[in-house]
Amino acid sequence: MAVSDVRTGKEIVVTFEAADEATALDAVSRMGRELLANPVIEQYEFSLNKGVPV
Amino acid sequence: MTRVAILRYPGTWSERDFQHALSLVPGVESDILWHEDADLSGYDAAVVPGGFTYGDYVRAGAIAKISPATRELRRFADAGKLVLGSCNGFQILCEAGLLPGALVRNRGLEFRCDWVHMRVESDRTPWTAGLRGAVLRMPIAHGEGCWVADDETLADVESREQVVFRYTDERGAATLAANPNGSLANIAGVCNEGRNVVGLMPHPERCSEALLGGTDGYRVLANLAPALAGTPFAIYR
Repeated sequence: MAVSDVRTGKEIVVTFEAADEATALDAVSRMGRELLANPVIEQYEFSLNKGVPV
Repeated sequence: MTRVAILRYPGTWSERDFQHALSLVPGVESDILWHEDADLSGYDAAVVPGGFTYGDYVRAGAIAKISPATRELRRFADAGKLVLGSCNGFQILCEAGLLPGALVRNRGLEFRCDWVHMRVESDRTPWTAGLRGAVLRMPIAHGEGCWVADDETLADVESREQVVFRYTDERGAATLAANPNGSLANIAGVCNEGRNVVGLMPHPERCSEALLGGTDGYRVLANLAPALAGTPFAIYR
């Protein structure tokens, strides 16, 4: 077996309520841009998982 | 009187050291301001001290950048007022985008608590007037002091003379061995394009009197009063 690549990273799971998907997308996008990632040193991607309202 | 505001966030630890060090400078008076209601009107300069704001969670300085004090600090800097950030204060200023680059884990992965030498690369900042070429000896205490930037930013920072301090040996040579944390190009401190905001990893407040083992920090802090009075730099050597 030959290892061709290894990467480590950070996973941040945020649970929140939003009125609709567009609002949720906007919120997550802002969280990444304004706090969770520093674009000078980090790349990031995010995905939304719709859950059941509490 | 030159009025200096020293910002205190949750986890700031060097604010009283700065207040003491600044009390030694004639013509300067300082106040410590809590981050939630920091009002910088009436102040000539602001200091962002070292510490571990918000426990370094997310990244060093990351959470502090969304504090009300940092919003106020951005307005203050945009108005051309003087800002100095040391250690975690430098990390906050980079996170906030007030200074170029970012500070990451030391190359050697160890927390470094030591004395270092650094050469003053630019005297075109209010804090370093008259000190160009001087080799200063200051303490460091950090785990995330490795300054990094992309190639373009590094080239810009160098060509615009925004490198203010560079780690060197005691004779002023920027060697690999003199670099305590792996910072690109041995960079220990930078300024913004407007040259009114300066950040550095070492601690000038901890070497401002002979009793504490060094006075080179005073040479930087003592520039404050004359810089604002429009007169040349301090002559403390």
